[in-house]
Amino acid sequence: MKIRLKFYSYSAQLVQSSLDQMAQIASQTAQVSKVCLPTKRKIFCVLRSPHVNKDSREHFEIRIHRRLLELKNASAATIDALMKVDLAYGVEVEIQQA
Amino acid sequence: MGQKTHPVGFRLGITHTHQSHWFAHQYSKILQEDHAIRQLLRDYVLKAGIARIHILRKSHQIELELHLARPGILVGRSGLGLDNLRTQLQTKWPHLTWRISLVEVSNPDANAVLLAQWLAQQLEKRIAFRRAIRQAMARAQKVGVKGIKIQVSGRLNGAEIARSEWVRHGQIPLQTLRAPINYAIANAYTTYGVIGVKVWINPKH
Repeated sequence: MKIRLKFYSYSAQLVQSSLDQMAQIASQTAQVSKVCLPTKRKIFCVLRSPHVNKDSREHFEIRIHRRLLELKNASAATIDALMKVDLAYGVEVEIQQA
Repeated sequence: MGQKTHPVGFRLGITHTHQSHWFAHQYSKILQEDHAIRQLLRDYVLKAGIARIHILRKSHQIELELHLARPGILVGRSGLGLDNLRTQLQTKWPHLTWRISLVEVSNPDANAVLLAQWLAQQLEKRIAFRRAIRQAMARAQKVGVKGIKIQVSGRLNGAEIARSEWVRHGQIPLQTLRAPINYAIANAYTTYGVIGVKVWINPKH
């Protein structure tokens, strides 16, 4: 069975360490591929002043770091082990079965 | 020339951390929830002195880390206050699993947020602002800080013409990123209007 785990975070270190952690556990029972997906950058351009002054603005951005973990030949045991893992706050994981 | 950036916002990548730790595809929804939670907490725990509220989220699990000057006041007798808070939060947002942890602020007099709140309360009690500022500075200096700056603006002592006064002792290097400047704002709502309080603290290392 093939399983895809997608990791999202605002912090590059967090997402990488989460990826490594899950990969470590999964590699015991399945074949593992770590992939780094492009980072999405959302930019917000905002007026600095509460009133008029259209020409003076400030930019903020949010960076969404993404990683992918592909597991081949996954077993029910793999899934169990993975579900038990406790990841840090600030990372979200999406699970897909391909 | 321009004016000053927010000393905390400036240092978010380094020296200061965010107060909300989560990732959300639906950012605005979670952000609004966070705001509502903080609002509720502030109204609830005014007296215990809240310095920081950290919100950590994992899907459907939420942990609150409250930094308080006097956690005892929140906890109440044998934990009553804490349980009450827990039930309030659980009923308002039942879809989340709530965990609450309390941290005691080690040095409330060297904490900008608490100091600013205290000053604001003094002003609301109609205490002469210059004296209140002097008291606040003394408190901070007694516990040892490298620098402290306090600014108050508005109808000071009820004056008809609003003005702004500030006092500084020690060093407040706003341009230095590695200086963890503690900055906070508080509002004093008086019969004459609003008096703004800004406090900068350069803590002892």
